[in-house]
Amino acid sequence: MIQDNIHLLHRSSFGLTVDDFHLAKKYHLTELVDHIIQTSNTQVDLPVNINFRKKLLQSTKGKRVQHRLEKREITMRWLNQMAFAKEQLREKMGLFWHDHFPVNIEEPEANISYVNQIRYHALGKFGDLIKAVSKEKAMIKYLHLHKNVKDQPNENFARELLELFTLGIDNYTEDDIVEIARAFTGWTIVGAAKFKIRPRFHDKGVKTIFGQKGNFNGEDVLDLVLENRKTSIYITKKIWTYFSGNAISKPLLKKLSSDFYADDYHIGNLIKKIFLSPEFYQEENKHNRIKSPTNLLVSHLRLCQLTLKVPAFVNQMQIKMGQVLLVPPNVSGWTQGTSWIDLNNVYFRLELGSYLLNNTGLKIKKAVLSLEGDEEDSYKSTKASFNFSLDQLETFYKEHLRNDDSYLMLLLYNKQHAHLQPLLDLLSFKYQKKLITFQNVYETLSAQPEFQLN
Amino acid sequence: MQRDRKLIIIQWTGGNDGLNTFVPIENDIYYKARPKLHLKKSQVLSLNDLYGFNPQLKFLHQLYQQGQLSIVNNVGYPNATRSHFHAMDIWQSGIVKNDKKLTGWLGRYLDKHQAYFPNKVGAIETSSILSTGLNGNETSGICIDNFSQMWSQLQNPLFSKILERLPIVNEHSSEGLQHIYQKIHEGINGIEYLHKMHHKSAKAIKPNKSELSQDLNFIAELIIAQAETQIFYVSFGSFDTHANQQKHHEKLLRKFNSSFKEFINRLKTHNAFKDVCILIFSEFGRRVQENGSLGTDHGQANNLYVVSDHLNQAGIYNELDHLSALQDGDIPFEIDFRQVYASILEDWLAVNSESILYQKFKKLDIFNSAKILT
Repeated sequence: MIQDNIHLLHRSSFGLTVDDFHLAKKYHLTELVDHIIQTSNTQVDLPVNINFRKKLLQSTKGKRVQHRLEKREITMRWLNQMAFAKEQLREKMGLFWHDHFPVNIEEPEANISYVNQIRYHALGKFGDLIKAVSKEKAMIKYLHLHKNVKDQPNENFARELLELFTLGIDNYTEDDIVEIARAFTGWTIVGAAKFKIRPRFHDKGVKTIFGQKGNFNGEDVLDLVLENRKTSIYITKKIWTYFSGNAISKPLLKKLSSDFYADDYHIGNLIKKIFLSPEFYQEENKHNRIKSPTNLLVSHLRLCQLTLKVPAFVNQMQIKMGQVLLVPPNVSGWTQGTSWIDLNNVYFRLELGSYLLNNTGLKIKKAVLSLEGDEEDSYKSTKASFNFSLDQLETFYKEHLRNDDSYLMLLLYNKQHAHLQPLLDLLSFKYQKKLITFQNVYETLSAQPEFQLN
Repeated sequence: MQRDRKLIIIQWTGGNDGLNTFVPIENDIYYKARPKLHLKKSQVLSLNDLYGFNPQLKFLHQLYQQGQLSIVNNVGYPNATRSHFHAMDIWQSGIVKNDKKLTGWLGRYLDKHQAYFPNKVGAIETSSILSTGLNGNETSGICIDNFSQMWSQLQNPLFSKILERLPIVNEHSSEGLQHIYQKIHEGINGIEYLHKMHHKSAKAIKPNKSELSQDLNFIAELIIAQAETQIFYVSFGSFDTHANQQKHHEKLLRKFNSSFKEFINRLKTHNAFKDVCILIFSEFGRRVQENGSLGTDHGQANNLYVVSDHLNQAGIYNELDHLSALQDGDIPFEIDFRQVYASILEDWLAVNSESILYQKFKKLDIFNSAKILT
């Protein structure tokens, strides 16, 4: 069924390209699932040394501003990577893990290292991922793990580890948190980004964690947390919801999470099982998920073969839509679902395509900008903001104009919406009469609310 | 709850130097710490024997004399942060401890009183991005940067065409899609409503051209037209004066003074001043000691200003800190900013503050409730 293939592709990627559409026609569902997973076996790192355009400024304040600009540059490259990497599933899970393990720190090297790490382990074993990310400078600094020392334990990381990263609320006691903080004492970063345990600051005493007594260290705690089945349930539920948009049924959760547990928390295998489960293709799970601002932006980039060029504009778009990567609202990440959309961003979201294709700038108040400290950067020529080419899409449109414009609906909106048919008819009429250009067509099609979901 | 009482928040973004705004003219420590940046007794607008206003604040001075301004000193909170962003989150959320989901104190007020705003425009921020302050759990304020532009954008036939499909969508589509159509619908209704209100309101003759004046004029027009909007949020700045402070600071205060004067006088002309309370605050004060670049760095406690026709104790609410026992070089806090919020919520908006601030705070004696009732 092409509809199921289309649904799968929309969910496992940041949106379809014309090439993906052809894949959907060619493969059976099970072949397509294999294809999606195999294509993501590789990974392309963000370059460690991003060649920043400005020289590092001397003062502390200048350095902070510089770091903020560099963060925008990293974010922009990451977004372009999401758009054009063939490893769509990996990139999509990279975004998931960023939301699951959010960080917000200044240093560019640490941000790049973190982004690469969560993408590298994105489809591997959850245990490897959590062990790696807990040792990243970005995480250690964000949750003050480096301040967690024997005489003055800091419980920040310990609490979030249980509440948000693994077990979920109500599955542990306050005493567990106190004891886990003790086990992680001494974890820190030396030099630019090297993880180290400082024995002098580590509490070597016996701790009681989840009712077990032992001389546990941080690494042991991560193993204990993985031994706990609640972790597999919590993560399975969250990954299911990320891909399906709806809550998971109890029997399915039980099955998928116990397989996940038995499979040593292999994320890629869990996702494969999700994609092969009939529930994933139930009608109520289709076209019900509001795209995150990142997903919305990247789906335009993919369709229009559009590359972002000016970090300040990318940043403005992200702010306007309520999701700035590497600047999560707090340690619980972003609130997903319908709360992505409210009166303050809905019109902007609808017209994003036309904003991108016309290079029209956003205006942000001077007070806000000067707080950000980079007025000069923000109003650079808008001409060079984007590169784009609608050729491939236009060819596709022309091919299917007469005989089957339902293909266009599948490509853009995942679904044949009967109520959009009159609009499509009108547009193709105008286009054929050369009253409008294909860019006009795209702007109108992508401004329909149906484009906001997948 | 008092629906006809309006609350206007003016946020001086960037950390205003409270000491050069409300100047302790008899304090030797101030003059020692500010060898270059101080304001002399002969320069300030005298308030009493001890304090004077920055010479640019002529209109605030006038309000002071008329008993329509209250100056609250040493306002802050425990373990103050000197980060703009963190401090702003704290002031706007009204929560000092880092909360999991950051909502604003006014957003939570809106959540509780949604029913009073049938057009869903209970709060407006004059900006292109909504601040945390107006962000609630279930509802939020809307931001309007340039109303006429926004209104004309919504005249785009695209949106009305989309809304023609609303009935079909409501019957046949997923919850997510219905939500989006609903938001488009609400937005257009809300903006139409504001347009109607704004349209019938008296317009300013020869208004000031500054951005702040335009924002305040728009607000005045909605208040005069008795629109349902109750909360207005305006930010103005940047007050982040690390270097060459004096000229920049004076320019900001001068601009503020003239726009604010125009605003209040308009409200007074239309007999609407009695309906408003204005809170002017900044996310932190600045270091007492000036720095080496003729500026000041981020500090902690600061003064704030309440403007209203219903003040119990107009004038100087409490004495400024004597500056002899500073906290890391900053003014230590005496009054928690949430006490100010609690007073506004209870005595001006007449609602329970505890459910919004999640804690009971001792109110300040700012408002004269007897006076309000008449």
